[in-house]
Amino acid sequence: MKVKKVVLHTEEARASSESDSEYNSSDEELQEAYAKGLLKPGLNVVIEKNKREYKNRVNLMKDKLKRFKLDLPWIERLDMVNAPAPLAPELALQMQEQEVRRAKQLRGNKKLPQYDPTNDPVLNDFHRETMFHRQAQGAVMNAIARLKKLGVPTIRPEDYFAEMAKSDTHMHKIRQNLMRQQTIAQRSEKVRQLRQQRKVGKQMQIEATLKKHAEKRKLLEEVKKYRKGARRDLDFLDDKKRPQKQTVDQKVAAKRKMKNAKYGFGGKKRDSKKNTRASSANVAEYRRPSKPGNLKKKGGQSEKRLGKDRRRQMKAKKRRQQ
Amino acid sequence: MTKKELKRKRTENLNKENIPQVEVLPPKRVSDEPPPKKVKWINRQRVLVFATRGISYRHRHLMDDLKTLMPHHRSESKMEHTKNLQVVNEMCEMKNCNKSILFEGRRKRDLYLWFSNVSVGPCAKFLVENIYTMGELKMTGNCLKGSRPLLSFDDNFDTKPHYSLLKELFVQTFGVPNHHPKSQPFFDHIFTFTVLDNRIWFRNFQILTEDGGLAEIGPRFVLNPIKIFADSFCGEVLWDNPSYISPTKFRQSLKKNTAGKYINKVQQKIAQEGSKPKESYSLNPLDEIFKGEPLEKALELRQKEIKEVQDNDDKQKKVKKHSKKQLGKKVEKRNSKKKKKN
Repeated sequence: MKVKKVVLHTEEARASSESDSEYNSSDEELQEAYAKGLLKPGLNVVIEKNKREYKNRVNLMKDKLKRFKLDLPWIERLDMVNAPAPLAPELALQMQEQEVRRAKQLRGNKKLPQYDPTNDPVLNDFHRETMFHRQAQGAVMNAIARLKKLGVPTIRPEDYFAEMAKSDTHMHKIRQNLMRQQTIAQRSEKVRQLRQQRKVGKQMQIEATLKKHAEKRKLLEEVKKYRKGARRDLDFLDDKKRPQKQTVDQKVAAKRKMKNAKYGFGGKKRDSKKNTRASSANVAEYRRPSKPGNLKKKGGQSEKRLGKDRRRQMKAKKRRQQ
Repeated sequence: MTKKELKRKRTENLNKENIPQVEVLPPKRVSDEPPPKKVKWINRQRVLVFATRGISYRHRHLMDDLKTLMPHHRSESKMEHTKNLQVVNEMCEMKNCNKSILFEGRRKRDLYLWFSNVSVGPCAKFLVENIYTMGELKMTGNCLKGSRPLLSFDDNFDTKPHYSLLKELFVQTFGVPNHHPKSQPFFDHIFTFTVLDNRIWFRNFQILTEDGGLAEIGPRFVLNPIKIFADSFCGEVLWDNPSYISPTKFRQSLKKNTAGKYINKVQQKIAQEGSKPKESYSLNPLDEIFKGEPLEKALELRQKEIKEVQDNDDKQKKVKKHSKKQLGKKVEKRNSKKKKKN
């Protein structure tokens, strides 16, 4: 139960603290205060009271305002006190978009300090700026109507040239900056789309391979069944490759048919004279090579080619036999 | 018959409607029009816009922007720092100005703005925060140099007397006088003053379309009011901002916060070490007897016991030796005494 020093909010205490003579009697005072129940047990800490008094002289200010106010018609002053214009739908949409974007940004980057939307300084900034914008909008609509009533032209004609507040070079810079930002935004959007596409493509590919594998497995199973005799028919082979009907133009088809009839169609053009597996495995015409000693004699005898007439006769004979 | 009458009545009505329509001036003026007669401007405001020494470049740019937006300004070279700003009144008189905006830079980073209605008062001092000049590239609007701005104020400016006082001051300083020779006769931008968070936020928008299409021109700044004086750069204090904290004090507090960090850390470490228990958990030493191979454990225990016994023996021996020595001494003493007696 410590009682250090306490600021008493009674008038007596304040008076005592100001005068030095009663400075030592603060303990007694504290005791008194404790007895009265102004103090509660516990750790009491000294509160530094701000002694400065802030001035707010309302009457003087009103007086001053009356004295220096200019009583001129509105057209000389152009001041308005107005509430912000109602929220335009496109502004509301922009606001919503900003909120969504900000939420996404915070979700995407955990390194950023995470705020909830009511305390987010970025969103607050945006809301504040839109508020100023709306106030200006309200003022513009109000003022233009008033000026029109007074018969004052407001819009500058297109061919009225005068010095502007910002120079042409500066405006050019601004435009370039805008363009650059736009291109950056476009590029990032494109990249994002590409990334998305790639992701989707990969997924599709994986799905396709999985499907292919599944079909193959199914087919093999069916084949196994057939081989073991659990299946009799080979229908599964048919329905797998069901030909897709294509709509063909009749005229084109007829033309193609004609050309096929005229020039021939189909078949492999290349490699028709090369060995195939079947041809190379064909050993019907194979003869065991003769012994090296006999080679000259036998070969000489057998390899002798008959004359042209004899050969023709032989051919004719063969044909007759057939 | 009836039909005819009806028709006539309608035409009469139409005529009546047409008559009261006053010829409306077109909103646009053609540039070939003969120049209108020069009208003398009634609202003769001249504002002295200048700075003290020690403002930074950004503050200077802001001042230049205000100058471009105010055709009724007069410029003045930079002023030395003086304790008494009443010199400004004399300067204004010399320059024939009845308003003044003084940029007072401190420490090369803080900017204070004085708005004053010279000779009569009042005068207000502001701290300027969040400055964006017109050179900023994100402000895309533009306006004629010297066209008259519309001045839009928040609702708050009517509620409190000091705000209404400030409003009048702003209207007189920022408002470009009608028919001012350097001004343009069109309305293409608007100044907005908004009270938010005890501060006055200034924005400048270009009017793109008359139905509320806007683009920001700049500059942007926030005025944090500090004091309002009754006279120009002197006199009684009419109002004091209770929520104002000077930038130096604010920076000091930030520094203090960071300064306490290390000490706090060290203290915490010491406190933690002091309060840390030596044993994480009070274990019963007998619990470990039945852990592991019983035979090995038994051997270990046996060795430990032997060691303890040996240690004890050594100690006892030492004690015995010591006592023996002492006993020997005593015996010698006694013997010597006896000898002496004899």
